[in-house]
Amino acid sequence: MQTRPTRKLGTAAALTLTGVLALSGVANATDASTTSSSDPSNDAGHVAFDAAKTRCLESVDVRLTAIGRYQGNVAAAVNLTSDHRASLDSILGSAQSGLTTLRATIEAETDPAALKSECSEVFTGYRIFALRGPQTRLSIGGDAAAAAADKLADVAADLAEDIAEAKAAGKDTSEAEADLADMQAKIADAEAKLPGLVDTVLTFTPAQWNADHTVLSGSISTLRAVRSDLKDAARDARKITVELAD
Amino acid sequence: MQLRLSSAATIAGLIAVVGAALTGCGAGRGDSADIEPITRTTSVSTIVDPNATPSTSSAPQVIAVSPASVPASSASASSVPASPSSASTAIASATSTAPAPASSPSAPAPVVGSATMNRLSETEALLAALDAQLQSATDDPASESK
Repeated sequence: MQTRPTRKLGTAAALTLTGVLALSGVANATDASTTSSSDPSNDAGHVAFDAAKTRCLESVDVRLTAIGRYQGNVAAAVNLTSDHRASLDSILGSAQSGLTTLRATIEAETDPAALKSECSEVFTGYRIFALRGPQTRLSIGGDAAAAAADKLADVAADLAEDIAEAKAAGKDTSEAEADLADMQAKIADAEAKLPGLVDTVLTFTPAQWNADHTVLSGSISTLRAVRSDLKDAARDARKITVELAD
Repeated sequence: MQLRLSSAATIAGLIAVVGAALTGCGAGRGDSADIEPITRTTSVSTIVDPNATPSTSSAPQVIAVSPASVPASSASASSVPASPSSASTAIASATSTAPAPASSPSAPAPVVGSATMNRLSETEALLAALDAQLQSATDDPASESK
């Protein structure tokens, strides 16, 4: 007769624990491992422990899947420099092997306190979504921007010749010349911002991100400014082609 | 004698075929000045050797020629192939490489070259890729709590 209420209470506590873990992302569930309901030696604790472990393993799996996606992005990025590609391969490969090992540890875990620590490590030790993903994106984007700047510089050189020919043929090219000057200035602005941008992005570690969640903000802002310059330059180029055709 | 008559009939037939084909492709009505540019644009084609002895054989003697080796006079009626089928082939080959109307001497040359326009398009594709990467770089951190 007394067993039933006790079990009910234990189950309620377990469900509460599961809810806490779910809401706080497992790793942030403070004191979850110290409550009696998480004790794997009783039924309720066993349920809560298993639920926490399942969520923890899921959080590992979703990160391993993301890493695979980033590795695919790196492999497909034709403009990445060999140095940046090597750095990303190393960063992502280390994260992949580390999380794979951690997953096996979590799967075999029987101690609630250890499980809590290991689940926390999934987040704080790797920062896949907060740091590794953006590092991959910004590196690919930065090198794509560098390639775009190179191509635009070639386009500007071509257009300068076209303008000179049109001018020699008696065409009024004053507007095209002004646009070309603006285009060249925008390309120069972009090129001045690019050196070292990706190298800096690739230096940040999960520990640095844990200490300062804005470590990438400066690089993101710079790359946005580069994009703006290059888009302006491309617009100038389009405008010049129309002006020369008129 | 019978052979000569047959050959003469074949050649007359071929002239008719060539004339009709040239008229159809808009190159002119048998005017050699109009025919010449088409013949010269033939990159590698099979043209019957004009010096070959006419024969009743069904397989005409053919030679491979390059544009430089095609004399201006080779498009004259005297150089027509030895059978109607090979004449059709030769004309089809020539017309397939005939210059497009846009590149005729009267059309204005484009001011900005196609290589430049291609580079510009490639640049715009790179900038679109940059857009996507920047968007993802700011979206990814939102997944950290998952």
